Amino acid sequence: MQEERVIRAGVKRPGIDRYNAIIRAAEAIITEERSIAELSIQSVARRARIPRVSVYYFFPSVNSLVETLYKRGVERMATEFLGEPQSETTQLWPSFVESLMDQTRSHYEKNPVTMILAFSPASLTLLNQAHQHYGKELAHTLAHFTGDQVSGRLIRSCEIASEIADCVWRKSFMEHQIILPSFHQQAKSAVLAYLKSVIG
Amino acid sequence: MASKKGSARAPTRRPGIDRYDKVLGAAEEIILENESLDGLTLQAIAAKAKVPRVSLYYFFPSIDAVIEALYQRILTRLISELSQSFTEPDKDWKKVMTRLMAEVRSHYRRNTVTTVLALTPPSPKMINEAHIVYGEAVASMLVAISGVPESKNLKMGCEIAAEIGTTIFRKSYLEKGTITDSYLAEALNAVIAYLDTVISPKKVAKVK
Repeated sequence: MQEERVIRAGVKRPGIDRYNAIIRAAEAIITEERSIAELSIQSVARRARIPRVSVYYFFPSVNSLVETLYKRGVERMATEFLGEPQSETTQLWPSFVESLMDQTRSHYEKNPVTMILAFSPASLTLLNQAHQHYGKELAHTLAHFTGDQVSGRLIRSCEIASEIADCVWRKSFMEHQIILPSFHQQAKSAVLAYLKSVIG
Repeated sequence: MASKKGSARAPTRRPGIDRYDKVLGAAEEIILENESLDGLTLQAIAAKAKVPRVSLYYFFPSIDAVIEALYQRILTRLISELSQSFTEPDKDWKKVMTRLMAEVRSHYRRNTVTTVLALTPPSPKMINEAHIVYGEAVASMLVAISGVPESKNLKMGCEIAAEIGTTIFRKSYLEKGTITDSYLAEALNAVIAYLDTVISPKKVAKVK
């Protein structure tokens, strides 16, 4: 999905190829450095072997590039894990949330770019919006389990739950460069304890 | 303070201490005026503090070193204020946490610089380090005031609880411009529910 701040997306074949080359180059840089510190329009252009001006054509700033990468990651995750549960499910919501968190953790492990972007925020506003998006999806999925209406309160609580998980995972990432099982366990405890206090 | 490369060099003699404080004071003024870290540069600080830029560089090799030193300062201020107002023993740790978090919110409200630095931090590394220090302080308060048994789990639990509290405060600040009552209530909920799993693990259904 394109947002207004990303001025353009490639629409014709050569444009699409270049756009994808830029994204791939940026992801390669982040993966190698395990941080976004080295990401610049220049380093991306060099890596993708395309003129800087073409990078600027799609991304007016490095922030808009980070934003695009991050949104791609979050949206991929939200569509991969959330949505209506299979009708035959007899799962209760807490075990659903647990397995969701397990999946998210392994998704982060398999997609270091998403993890690094989520844990080294270039823009707090961006992170805040990502959790709003994710929280809303989660609220709708949880409502299927509990049979409750999707209320504003539930949505906000799910946004908060999503922030809680990330802040515990981030702590592990900052201190150990990966999400350790012990931190993952604490993240699950924290999210479940909080959601139980909300959903009951 | 850590004397690793790139960090601030702490002064040891009187004129140095005065200059150092003047520099940090000027930095705080700039943050206060802008209500953000935008516009905080070594040049702006030198001008505001009326200190030659050379002596600014002597203490602070970069703007990050200034921010790091400010971070230490606000954290020390917050912790000392909290430990002064929490001295009476109270067996009910949940009540203590509730008061503590209300106190932290009121501290934020009275100290714009703290709010800006803590809730719109420039680096995740600083948040992480600050919460380790703060978590440790909270853990020893719970031990001293409520008689919660001291343990490694408690210390780690308090570090995590501190991160959770700040995360929810930050969400409120970003969306509402202040820490609202309802977000304070959510933060309390989240922190107490989580700490309960750390302090009284038996009460909670075992997580698979």
